[in-house]
Amino acid sequence: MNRIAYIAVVMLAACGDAHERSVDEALRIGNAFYQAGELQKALDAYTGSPEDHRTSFNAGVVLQETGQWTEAVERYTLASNVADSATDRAKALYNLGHVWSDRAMLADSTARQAGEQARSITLDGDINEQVRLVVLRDSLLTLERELSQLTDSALLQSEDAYRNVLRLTPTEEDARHNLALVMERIAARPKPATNAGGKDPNKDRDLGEKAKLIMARADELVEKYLFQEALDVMRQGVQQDPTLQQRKDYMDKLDMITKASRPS
Amino acid sequence: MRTLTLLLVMFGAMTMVAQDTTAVKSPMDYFNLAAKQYVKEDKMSALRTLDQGLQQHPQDARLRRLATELLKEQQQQQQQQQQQQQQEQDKPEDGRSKEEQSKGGQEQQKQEQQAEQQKSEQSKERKPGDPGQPRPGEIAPQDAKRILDALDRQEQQVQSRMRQRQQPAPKVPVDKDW
Repeated sequence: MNRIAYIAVVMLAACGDAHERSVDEALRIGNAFYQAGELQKALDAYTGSPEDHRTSFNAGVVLQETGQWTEAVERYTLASNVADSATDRAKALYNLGHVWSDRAMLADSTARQAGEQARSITLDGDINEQVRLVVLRDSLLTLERELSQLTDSALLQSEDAYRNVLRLTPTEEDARHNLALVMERIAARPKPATNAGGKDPNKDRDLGEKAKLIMARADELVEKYLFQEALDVMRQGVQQDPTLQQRKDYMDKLDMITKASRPS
Repeated sequence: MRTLTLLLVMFGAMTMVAQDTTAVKSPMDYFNLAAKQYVKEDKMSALRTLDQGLQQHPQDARLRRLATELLKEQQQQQQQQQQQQQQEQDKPEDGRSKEEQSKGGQEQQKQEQQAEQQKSEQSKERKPGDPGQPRPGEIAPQDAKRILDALDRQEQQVQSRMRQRQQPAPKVPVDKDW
């Protein structure tokens, strides 16, 4: 029994030793490539090693330098999770904060560009061209909104990472400084506009019971593309239940569609 | 024979799929879809559908009419929004005239720009990777242990040699030759 335990201990030690050796070898090779400026080879060496916070961190550095920020975030997160000391965890988190900050800056500047492009569009040309331009403008404005949300989210992630650095290493002055900068940027962000458009779920709230049934019938007909029939139902319905007048906008739309659908 | 049947069935299915994806919608299909989207209060989706329809059928009168109406309505809405915004901007907030406000605003903007510039100059954000550049020449823990062991052994040898040297030399009786 003692012998088995001894063998198990030796094997475990040997395995640990092999793991350490592989990591050290990956670090040695990767570092050499990194120093020589061969970043892809360095990355291959780091990512080819067994899981270790040092190789993950170094891979993160290379990925960050080559602009692969999503992957860099993954590597730093892994490095911070598996690091065996507070200092190493803090290092990974510091760089994580930096990547998120960079991402926020890029998203913000791209959002600005998209917004400027959208607002510079003027509707010229025939109706086909104008529709195309309106759609393009809307796409750019949507992109601006989405990138703006991404900026906000990235800044919060950056703030979180720097805060965690300070929890681990309270004397890290650079992290404190960067945290202050990020917080200033967050405070300076424009507040997201409230969604004024979109369907109002309470629109039919004040309709009478009869009017609600008529609305439901009209909706069914619209679903089947029977716009003229839907309009007729609504017009007759107004006489049966005057509260349906509240949905005059619906009738106006149907009226416009039926007029536009007539053959010229 | 069974294989041939299977192949024929597969070919038929593929053809049907291909036909489905390449099927060109009629102008009326686009019109109906756009109209439904418009009624269901999604004007932008309606315009997107019309854009697709007009690319396929640029001269279709119904599509063009509907597009014209939708654009007209959208422009009216935009004008209303702009007017509302303008009215909100024109509201005096602190009793200052508009000119004063704009002048003050410009100065404030200038100051903010300067502050921002200073801030960016002061920014201490480290360059990516700075805190943890790969550490070349790092000694692995087991290597360090080996070296320390070797040093320890060397030390022991040296010390034993020293001890040997420090041992008192055997006393040799000297016979005085008087």
